[in-house]
Amino acid sequence: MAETFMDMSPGFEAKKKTIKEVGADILSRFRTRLGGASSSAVDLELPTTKPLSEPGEAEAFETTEATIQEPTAFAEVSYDKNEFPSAATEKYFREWEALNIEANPEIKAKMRKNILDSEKEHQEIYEQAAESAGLTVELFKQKLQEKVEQVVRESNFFRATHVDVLDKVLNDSGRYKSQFETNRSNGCLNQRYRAQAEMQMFGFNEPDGFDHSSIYREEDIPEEAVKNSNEFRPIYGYFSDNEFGAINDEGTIPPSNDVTQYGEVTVKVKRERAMQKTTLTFQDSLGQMNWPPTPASKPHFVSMRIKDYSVDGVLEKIERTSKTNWGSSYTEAQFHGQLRIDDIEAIYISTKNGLDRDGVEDVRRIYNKFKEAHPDSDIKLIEY
Amino acid sequence: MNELYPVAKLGDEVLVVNKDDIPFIGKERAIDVKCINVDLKHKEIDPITELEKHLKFNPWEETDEEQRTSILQSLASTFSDQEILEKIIEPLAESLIEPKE
Repeated sequence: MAETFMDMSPGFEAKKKTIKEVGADILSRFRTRLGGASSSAVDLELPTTKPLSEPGEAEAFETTEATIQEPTAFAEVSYDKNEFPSAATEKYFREWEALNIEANPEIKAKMRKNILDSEKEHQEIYEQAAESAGLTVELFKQKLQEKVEQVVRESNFFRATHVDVLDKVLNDSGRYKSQFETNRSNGCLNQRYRAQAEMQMFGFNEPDGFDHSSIYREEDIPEEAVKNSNEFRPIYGYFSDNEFGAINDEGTIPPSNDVTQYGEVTVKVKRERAMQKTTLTFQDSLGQMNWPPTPASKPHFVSMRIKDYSVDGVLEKIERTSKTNWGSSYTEAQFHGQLRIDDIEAIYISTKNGLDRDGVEDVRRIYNKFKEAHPDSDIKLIEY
Repeated sequence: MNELYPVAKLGDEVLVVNKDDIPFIGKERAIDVKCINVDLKHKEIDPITELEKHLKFNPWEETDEEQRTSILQSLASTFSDQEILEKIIEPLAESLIEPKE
């Protein structure tokens, strides 16, 4: 947890100042560096800021009365307790071998391990949630699994896209690129944290026998884990059951999406392609490796983070992926094996979703240029 | 030391961090490094958030010295002192990472 500036230890340029004093000091040096001229207030309306719900914080939600059901015979179904933490998970893995996913070869084995580890690690939370719901743990997990499958089945997959990025995708590279590809060598944007996260979640570039349980040290991450195959790294998006890809407290647009900070153009991925190459979580995956991604074509309930202080009404919260009321401001999809223009179904733009008139014109221009070069493409531009 | 540092750009948007947090980028406490996304074209300043999230979602390009100077000049001319102080400097100062002993 980041320490506040006020809690400086004596060894950290220790002076006790208020944030205001520090801020004024920084501003003064900022102005001095730019020529020493004192600034005058610019005659502007205050810029608008995009509202952002801080992921990870508990949010108010409406609860409905939990439906209490008597435990069914499912709870008594025997299963291999040595291999699986629950009957629900044993059932989940019955068709695992037949699953195909367009991603790095290690991903299936990695996800299987992550699912089993995560469920065991969070057994106590599932027990608390089950007790709160008046269900056995087995029945709770069964119902949680059914909920997860249902909401994903009703969802489509999207990528919040910056206008400049859209231009590059459609009219230059033909695909999305990650920051691993655009990074400058020997710069300060060290990528090891994300490289390790993708190793842990997907086995991407993971050396055989690599031990993630040791304390993270930069030098423990091999160079090839950061540098190799970057053109095949996951591209991150989200999923929603709203036609236009709405994802916020309302489940509609307006208001703007909670992901417009990452791009105000909503690109919809063809569902059949998403099913072949996507994994997902019900919250941002950053720092949440113990609630791992699972395949979009076969989601598992461990991809839904349940906080130990928010176990009440878990099942009732999971209704719609456009209106995330389970303590996360957006869902996350991870597209593997490159996200290309052939994977795109439609481009949605609207001034109701943070794009201004100039931005709408820019996207029209970008799209028209693309269509001139690709007249047979079936990608649609939809303004709403 | 405690300077605004525009670390990356994407079109007209820039990610600004506190320069003192740069040593933590990509390392053990990477998730604690916070940034402010500033849209210079639309004159918008986003709330503070984790730098790693922005880097994960988009192909940001790291700035060089010349670009950083230009960006800071744009910041100075686009926003008032009050806006810079309240929406950029203070949030970044509050979230500054303290090195472990």
